Order: sequence, then structure tokens, then C-alpha cells
Amino acid sequence: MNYRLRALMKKEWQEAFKNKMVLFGITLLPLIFLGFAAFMLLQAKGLPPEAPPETKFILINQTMFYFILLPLIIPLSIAVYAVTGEKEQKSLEPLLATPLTDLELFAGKVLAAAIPGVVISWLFFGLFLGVASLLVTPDLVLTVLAPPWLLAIFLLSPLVAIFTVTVSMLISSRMSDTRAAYQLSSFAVLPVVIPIFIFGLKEALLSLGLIALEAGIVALVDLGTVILAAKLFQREQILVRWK
Amino acid sequence: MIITEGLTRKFKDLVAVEGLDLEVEEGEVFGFLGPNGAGKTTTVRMLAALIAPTSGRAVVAGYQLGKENQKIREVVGVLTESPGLYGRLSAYQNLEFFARLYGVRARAGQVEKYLRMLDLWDRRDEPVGRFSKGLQQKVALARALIHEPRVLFLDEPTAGLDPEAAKLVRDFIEELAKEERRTIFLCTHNLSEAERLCDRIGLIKQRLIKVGTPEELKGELYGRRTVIQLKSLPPAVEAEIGRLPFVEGLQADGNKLILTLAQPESQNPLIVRRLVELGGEVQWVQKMEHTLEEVYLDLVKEGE
Repeated sequence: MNYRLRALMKKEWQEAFKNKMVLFGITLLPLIFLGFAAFMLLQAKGLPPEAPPETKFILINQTMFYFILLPLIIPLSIAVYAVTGEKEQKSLEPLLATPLTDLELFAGKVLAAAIPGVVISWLFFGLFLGVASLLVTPDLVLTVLAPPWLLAIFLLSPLVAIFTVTVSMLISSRMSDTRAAYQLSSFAVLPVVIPIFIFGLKEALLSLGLIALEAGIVALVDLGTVILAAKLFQREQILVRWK
Repeated sequence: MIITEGLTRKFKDLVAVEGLDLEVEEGEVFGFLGPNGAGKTTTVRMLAALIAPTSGRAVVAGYQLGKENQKIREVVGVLTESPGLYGRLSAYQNLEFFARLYGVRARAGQVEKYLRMLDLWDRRDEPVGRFSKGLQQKVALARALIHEPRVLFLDEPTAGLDPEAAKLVRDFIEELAKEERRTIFLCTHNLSEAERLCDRIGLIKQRLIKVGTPEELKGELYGRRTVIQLKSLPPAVEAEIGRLPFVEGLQADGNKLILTLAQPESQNPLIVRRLVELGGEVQWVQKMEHTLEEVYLDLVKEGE
């Protein structure tokens, strides 16, 4: 990673972590989700022996949902602010006047927004495993360490984060109001988690095949949004076309 | 240091800058004057390799625009009209970020140098969002200088500042120009600022209307004029003076004669002598001064 990219990412984080919305996203929200996820697992543990197994599956599936939501929500505010914040402060032109290349600018913004979401979701998954091992039986802990879960956490989550970031940046580049860009981006990125949510309500545990299929589709969509967003992150486009 | 040939930029049907031919010498402070929408900012954006020209060519600090844009961005500094700082970051963090982007080696020392130079060292850790507009503009100026650029583009550096803040910024630019011998390309609306700071001035309104020193611009437009106030001005005296071969222009205004002369230093005594011979009673002889504002307004009108 070159020094300009590192400098841009550092600046993005310095700015983002002074933003209340971002701070909430990276501290309180994961804690709330961790609480919900642990509660779901406790519910699954507390089910009476005569309860149908489907109830337990649904609870476990919904637990996973929280860890897919984190890389969706956390990068959203960082990505939106990374674009609208520059516009509001009129800081884009001085930034573009530096030797930073268009690709470095794009990559720096995307990575700075996506990395916290992914790292925090992984961190809280680790915490969740710790909490789960204290609260529930080993067989339930093993359920959340199964391949579908691991694929969801370590592959689908980063892909979801990249989707969120690129879509938010595409939307934010066309808007000047941070709040409006945030709201519109929130709606635009939701479809990516709907399949997981719907299948999670089915009467079976989420399968490896389903997660892999979802990851494959998101990867393809990511490719498209990355190409579109990268085209948008060109000096000329930014100065002449961005609103 | 800056050479442009036929530099043109169009935005769809709108011609922002047309056929700009310009040469700015190293160490020169070049003022770029023009009304709103005249193409000043577009020119700066092209020369700083931010947007591409539609046609024409330019060389900035020895690098060819279009082919060596990255190099150009490394050696120029740009101060935009609004400070464009990161309001949540401190003055130090703002400057340090840009020093990193430019790959400045002794970063801490360089940031400290400019913060001290602009009397901001004691406030280095405050978020710049809390600074007054004048202070923000000072930080922005330091940001444009942090990598010691060979060419500095200043786009309306004092616009929107109160007179005190504007003076601070202007004094600093003057200091830079005098002591550091940097090439400065200054876009401004402020004519007295241009007159005070610039070695030469270019007037633009899509096309370059005129280039010259402030004195040359005034002289070229109005010639060199002398005003002679007489006790009374009979028509015969006026006609006689108008017949003198070296008088290029003559205008009477009450008891005043306004003469356009090529060499007023040697021709004024001859005129005064002739007036006395004709019985005229000379009360005052004055050099007629024109402000840059008059020159600007007339030239811009002429360019329409």
C-alpha cells in the first residue's frame, strides 16, 4: 500500500471517528447486536425438548443475520460522509490538486469505509463466540462455527461491505445533503441482505450452498458497482459533474 | 514557468476559455483579472492538471499538460476560493495530511514552519472548523505551500474575508513573492490587490484581452496624459495648442486642457511656454492618473 493511500485512509478515519453517527455505528450498535445475537442463542438453548427443531433453526439463522448487518450498517455512514463531507467542506478540489491518483482516491475511500465494518463484525463475532461458549451448550456453539457461518462471516461480510460502500458512494456523489444521501443509501443497500433474511425464516439451517450462492451474486454485483464507482472517481467527473 | 498556446476549454456548448496564449516567467507574480464566469478558475484548473483542456497545449514548471499531469500536481500548489479544510481536524492534522500526500520528508518540521510563520502554532490542535474565515484561509495557504511548490495558483485568496483578514493574507502573499521568489498566478477581482502584488496582469473574458504591467495597461489604454488648469481658456488658445505637432490628443474641460502626449517629461515645458506666450495664465500642471479599475472596466467593456 503506497504512502498516499495510507495517508488518505488515515485522514478518513480521523474524520470519521469524530462523527457521532459513525461512533455510534462502531461502538454501541455492535454491542446491541451482540446482545440480540446472544439472546437469540439463549432462546434456542431454552427451548423445551418437545419444541419442533425448526424453531431452533430459525433462531440460529436470525443470529447470523446480525453479523451480516454489521458490515452493511457500519460502512454506510463512513462511505456517505467520505463523499458528502468533502462536498460540504469544499475540500475536494484541494485534495484533487495533490498528486493523489484517481485510483488511489477511490481505493482509499472504499477501503477506509469498508475495513472498519468488516473488522468490527469479525471482532464481534469472536466476542459472540466467547459469550456463546459461556452461555450455551457446546453443540450450539459448534453450530455457529459450521462452514455456512464461517463463509458468511469471512466471505459474505466483506462482499456486503464493499457493496454498501460503492453503492453509498455512487448515491452520495449525486447528492449534496448528507442526511438525504444516508437515507437513500440505506434503502438502496438493503436488498443485499433480504435473501439471507427470508431464507433464515425457513425451517432449516442456512446451507453452505445458499451462502455461497449469495456470496457469488454479491461478488458479481460488487464488480459492477466497483467499476461504476471507479469511473465516477475521476478528477474531471468530480469537478464537473458531481453535485 | 507557465506557457500556454491556444488553451481552450469548452463545457458542451459553453466556451469557458478560448485560445489562451500566455507566458509567465519564473518568480513572477502574475495577476489574472476578469469578471465572474470569465474563465479564471477554469484556467487555474487546467494549469493545475485538474481538468483537461479541450484543445491547445501548456507547459507548467517544465512539464507538459496532459502528458505529465502527475508531475505538474507534484510541483504546483493550489489555493481555492474557499479554504476547503477538514473542519473536524486540527490545523496540524490538516497540514500533516497534505504533507503526507505530497511525500514531504521532514513532515513535522515543515508543518511547524508554516504554522509558526502564520502565527497558528499555539492553535495547532484546535479543529479548524472553529477558526474564523481569515484564519482558515491562512491554514489553506499553508496547505498550498506545504510541499514548497514552484508554482502557486491562488484563486481569489481574499474573497469574502473582512478587511483585516484580507490584509493578513495579502501581506503574506507579498512576503512570499518578495522573499521566496516563487511563481505566483493570482486570480482576483480585487484590483488594488492586483496592482499592489502583481508584476504583470492579464485581463481575461473567455479570451485574453490584454497583458502587461499595471502601468503599461494604463498607458496603453489612455496614453500618458497631462492636465493643465488655466485661469481662463479662450478657444483660440485651445486651437493653437492642438496644432502643436507632438500633441496626440486634446480635450478641453472648462478651463482645463487635457493633453495626450508621448513624452510628457520633455513636452510639458514646451506646452507651458507656448501657453504663456499666448497669454494664458497657468495655475496647475498635473499628471493625469488612472486607476486600474478604470482600465479594467474599459478593457472588459471593450472585450464584449
